[in-house]
Amino acid sequence: MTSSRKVGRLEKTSLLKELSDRLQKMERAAEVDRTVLNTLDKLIDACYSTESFWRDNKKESVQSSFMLYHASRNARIILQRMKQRFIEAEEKHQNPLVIEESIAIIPPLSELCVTISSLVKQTLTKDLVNMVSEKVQYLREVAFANSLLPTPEEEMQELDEKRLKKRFGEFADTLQAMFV
Amino acid sequence: MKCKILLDTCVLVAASTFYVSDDLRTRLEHPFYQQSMSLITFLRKNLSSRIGITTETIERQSIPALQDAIDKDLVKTGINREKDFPIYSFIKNYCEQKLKTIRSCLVREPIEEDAVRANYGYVDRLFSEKAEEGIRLTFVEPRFKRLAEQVPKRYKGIAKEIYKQQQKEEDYQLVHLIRKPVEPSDKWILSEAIYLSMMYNRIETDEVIFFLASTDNHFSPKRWAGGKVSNQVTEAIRQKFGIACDWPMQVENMAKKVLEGKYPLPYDK
Repeated sequence: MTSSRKVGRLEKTSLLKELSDRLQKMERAAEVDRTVLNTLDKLIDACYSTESFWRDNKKESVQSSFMLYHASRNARIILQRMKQRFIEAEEKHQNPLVIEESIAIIPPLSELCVTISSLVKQTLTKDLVNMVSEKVQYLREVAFANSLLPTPEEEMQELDEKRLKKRFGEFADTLQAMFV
Repeated sequence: MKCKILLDTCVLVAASTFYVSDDLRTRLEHPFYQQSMSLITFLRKNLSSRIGITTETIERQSIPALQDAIDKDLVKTGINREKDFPIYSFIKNYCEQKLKTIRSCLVREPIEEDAVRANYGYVDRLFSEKAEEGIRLTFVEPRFKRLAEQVPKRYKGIAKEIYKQQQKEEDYQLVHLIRKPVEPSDKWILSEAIYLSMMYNRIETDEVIFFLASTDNHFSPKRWAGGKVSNQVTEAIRQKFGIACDWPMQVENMAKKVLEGKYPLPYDK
């Protein structure tokens, strides 16, 4: 399977529609249905594919590819958090709160995913990249308000700490040089 | 007597980055970071006084400023997309999150765009005049040459070098305007500061001393080791618009004096 085909999966197979339908069904029943975990797994996989596509995309500038990668990664970590909350729902007595909060994230998540898919075959202008950036910020705001944003500590778990500190130091130097 | 502090974009991004560094236990020692963080801490402690303010323009510029720094790093040699994209994505998320926390301790003031636009003309003229002064003092009639002429012939060479260095330090702010012209967005921020300063002094019964905290030498003085200060632009802003621009540490010290009921001295150390 080629990378571009994998990217298309997000939209083509309507996984988000499937997730939305399952959530609404759960809301009506006021009970968590653990089959939602399968849908979430498929969505998370699709996000991983999109991340790889943009990470390896050399046709666009590194900055544009990064922004699309960043958007896909944020969609994925929010879905992973959602999955975690569904797994723990019974134990933490979060039923039906987790359903309501997951429903709240669907509109901005769908919007971002559709935008990412639509940009696969387009030349990325600065305006388009900025639009994606704004959509990511909005998605994170909604995710935060609904306890669906992983903590920085959770986000850090998939990173090489030594390399992170090195790159962060360089980033701080660049920022300082921009303003002083 | 009251005071208000408008925080420039650079202070917001520096403080947010400092907070991330603190969490990552990679403390940033440069004054750019230390002073910005200290000022935010001071504003948090005095939250009820509503001293710290921001505007939509400044908030809007903050996230792109963080992104600009990431963009610059992404094109550096040695970047491995597989290893570094997740890291920069995390840095972006974390700094933006801290930025949001910082903004929550600031008052976001609404702005009358027409009034700000009217101020913009005066701001633009002030910077043009100062840039012209810089050109005149640096290229047309440099004073280091005149001063070197007045010393005995045998010391002229060395005197010229000393006076040249002295002038370079004294006129730093003016030369900075020529080397790095002020961006329209920065002129707009100063125009907003003028609008807010006038607005506060109109509606408040007490006198309001207005500060603009910035690490940008278009606004804040350049301080050299040994105590020399280049402040021609800062002084012109203070005299013409009544706004005290300075580095976060100096602004914090001056604001503390205001809270104690004392008049602050400009360019305080």
